[in-house]
Amino acid sequence: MGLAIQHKLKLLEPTLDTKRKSEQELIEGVRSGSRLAQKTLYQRYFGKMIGTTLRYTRSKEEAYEVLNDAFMQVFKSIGSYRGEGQLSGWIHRIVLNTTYSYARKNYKIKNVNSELKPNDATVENDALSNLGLTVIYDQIQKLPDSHRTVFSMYVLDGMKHKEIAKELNISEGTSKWYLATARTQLQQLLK
Amino acid sequence: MKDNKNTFDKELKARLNSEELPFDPMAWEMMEEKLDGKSGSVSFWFSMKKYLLTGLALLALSALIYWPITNNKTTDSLSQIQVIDNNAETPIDRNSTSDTQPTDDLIRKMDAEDTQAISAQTRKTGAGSPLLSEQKEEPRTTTATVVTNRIPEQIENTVNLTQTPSASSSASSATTTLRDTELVNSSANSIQNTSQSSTTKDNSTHVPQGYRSESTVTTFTPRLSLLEAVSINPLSTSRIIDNRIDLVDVEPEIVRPQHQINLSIGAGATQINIDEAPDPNATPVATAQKEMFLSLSYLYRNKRNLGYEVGAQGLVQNLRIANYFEQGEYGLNEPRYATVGLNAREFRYELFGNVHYFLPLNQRSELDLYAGYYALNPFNLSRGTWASGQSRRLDPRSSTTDLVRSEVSGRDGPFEGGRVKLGLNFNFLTNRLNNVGIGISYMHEIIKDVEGTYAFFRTTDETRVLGNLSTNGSGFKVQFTYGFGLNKAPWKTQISKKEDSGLRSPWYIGVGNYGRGYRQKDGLSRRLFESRSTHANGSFYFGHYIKKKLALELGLGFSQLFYRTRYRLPEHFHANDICLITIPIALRRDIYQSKFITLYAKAIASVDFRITKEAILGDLSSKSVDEEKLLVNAGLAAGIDFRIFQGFHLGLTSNYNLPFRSIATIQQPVLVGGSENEIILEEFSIHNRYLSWGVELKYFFNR
Repeated sequence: MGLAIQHKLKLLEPTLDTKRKSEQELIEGVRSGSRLAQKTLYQRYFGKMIGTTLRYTRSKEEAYEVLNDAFMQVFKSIGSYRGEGQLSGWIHRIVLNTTYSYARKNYKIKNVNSELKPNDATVENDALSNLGLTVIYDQIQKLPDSHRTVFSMYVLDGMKHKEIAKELNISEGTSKWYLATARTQLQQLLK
Repeated sequence: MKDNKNTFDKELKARLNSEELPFDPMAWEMMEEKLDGKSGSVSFWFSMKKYLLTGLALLALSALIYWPITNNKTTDSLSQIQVIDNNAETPIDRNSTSDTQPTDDLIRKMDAEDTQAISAQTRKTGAGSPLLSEQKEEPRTTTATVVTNRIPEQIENTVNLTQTPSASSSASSATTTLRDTELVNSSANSIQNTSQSSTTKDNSTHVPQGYRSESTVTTFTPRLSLLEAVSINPLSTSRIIDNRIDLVDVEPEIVRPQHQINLSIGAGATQINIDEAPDPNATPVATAQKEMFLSLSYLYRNKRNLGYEVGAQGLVQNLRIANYFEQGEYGLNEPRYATVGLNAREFRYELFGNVHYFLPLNQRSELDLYAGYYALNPFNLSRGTWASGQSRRLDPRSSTTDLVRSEVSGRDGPFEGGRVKLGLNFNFLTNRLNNVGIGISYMHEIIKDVEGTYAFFRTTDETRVLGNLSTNGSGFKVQFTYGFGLNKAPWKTQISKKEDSGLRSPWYIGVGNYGRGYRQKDGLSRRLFESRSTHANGSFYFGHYIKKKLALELGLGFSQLFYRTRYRLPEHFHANDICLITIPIALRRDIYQSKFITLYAKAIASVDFRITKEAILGDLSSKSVDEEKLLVNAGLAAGIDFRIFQGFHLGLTSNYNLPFRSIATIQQPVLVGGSENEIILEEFSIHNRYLSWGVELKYFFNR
């Protein structure tokens, strides 16, 4: 390792330590039930986590509900977080699980006839860059529940069709069909 | 095309992952509500509820233990417990004897409960419960003595439940878990539910044979049905609570009585219409136009939302006119104030019918919109008319001259005199299923029933002033109703998910003390009116949250306005006390709620009953020419409550009151001349328009 890099790392150390320390204090605060600490933690990770729930739910309010359920779980079980891995990753896992559970429970995702062929439309990406983030989420939320769920799982959370099929108790063919249809519909909405 | 798709997916993912949405405070507010609902800062009353339920559960357990002991000791006829072998060849015909019928019903209820529990369990396990799948066709059972060692021997022989091995183990675990406080609560709930449920009789056919406890049939007399349930069910129902730990609260399902006898008392405004006399300076003013009524009625609800009411109402009207005669008028050598009642059949009765539409707010509360017709003296058969009433005030100088005189005549009968009424009540149900209602209504007279004349200085030969008048029963009324429920249905209880009760207990009472700053409407009034102090100004009220942040309040207030006119003649001044009894109805909306602070706003409608007490000093006096009134006000208030300790809040509040009428009209001698000291009478009105501020103490509680 070159001297220059070592020097840079050395300069970064206090920052990292401070960050780690403040995070640890935050965790301790949440663990002890401090409302201020809870709020700080919530506020800090809100932006990162809300996107996950927004793309699985029908409205902003519903997304907040799911996110809050997840954070309730975070506050409750923060004692089990041992500092292995990033806190944001740990929270994100809880948010994802809560969201999946919510989607499974509240949205009826049925199998479709696997012989149905999804309508493959030409994909145009120009519109995407011109749209605001809120608008994109709004359009995703307009998709039907099944389509939105599968699309989010596949495209945004990187799950395979096999995993989606297992998670939602549907066939792989159904998952593919929902994905293709959702993609087409979303492109229409984003135009 | 695939490339295009991948690009779209990647771009979208990159876009969503790279950007973050800003923090939304609304989300944290929702989070806080959730935290407050769930966290350890559970309200005192919720804890109290738990303790209460625990107490009830312990009481039920005590009854379970105590009752068999006492009944076995005292009389066998009250408690016959038969053990019937399920493997016996002779099948049990449940309907064959009347003695077993209540027990059968009870068992069916228990079975229904078990069915629900099993269904819930089945749903949870997905693949189906082994109880359902494996033991469905197996009547093979074993007898498990559940209550052992802890109770006297005679009970051990009697309280037996026959269950499958799995049920038995569940029962044993349930017995263990009964030590846990929360589960005891749940158990108690389940007991109540089982004992009082009346809607699941026919579900027993769906219960798997092996799960029933029918091999032990306990027969009791119907007289002890409640205790039967308590004594039989705890162990069997507690089997299910392990799987239903999310069901922790008891919410009473209240059935309103279908028949109700209502007793109402109320008061309101009426009107006297006075035509101007030929002499414009000689028109009397109405000084009292109000009524009080008491009614008795029968209300029948054919639906939850619809009811019909018929009844009779007796009422007393206070109708008076008055005139202030100035010195020199009609030959008077001194000012004279004369007032006279109309004697316009002021004691009367009305028969009425109302149609009610009920809008439920919650189980106990509802809004009651109603309309109906009130017929005046309907059984009077004197062709719709009645003899004239008259009243007079003699001129002190002559016993043959009436200073003021009124003569009226009128009509009555079902179609000769009558009023329509449109009203709004806020009803809530007491624990005894009686109804308490408060409300406001407007009555409109559709047939003029009293017409007449007024006269000044009337002798047998001459009348100096003559004018027409009529009464009109139209006006706003306020009323309080107490309804005695008949044929009361029993209250059913059911287990339901606990709802977030928020930070507030749903009921509260409060007292307040206030200061007021008055502002008069017109220039003359502002010039003449001098508010000195408000000696007493307080109110008492109670409120009820109909939604989490919305409450209805009813109050009773008293205020005393002590004023002094700016009459500057050295030896003459006028002081006056105006006392008001106020009944406000308010809608309170909490704008911000936290555990320690609540900000709120209120919309208020109120009526004032005025009581005047005059203190006149000096020989030149001002006179109130408008003595008794019922006044309607609207107001807006805002305030903040601080929690001082559990249940008690200290509040600061401010209220702006806007009256629709003047509180009093005063004829006031005013010095207008220079050196000649000319005095004229000027009339001005005092309005109850004020901005108040004050301190309130509130106590929030659950019923």
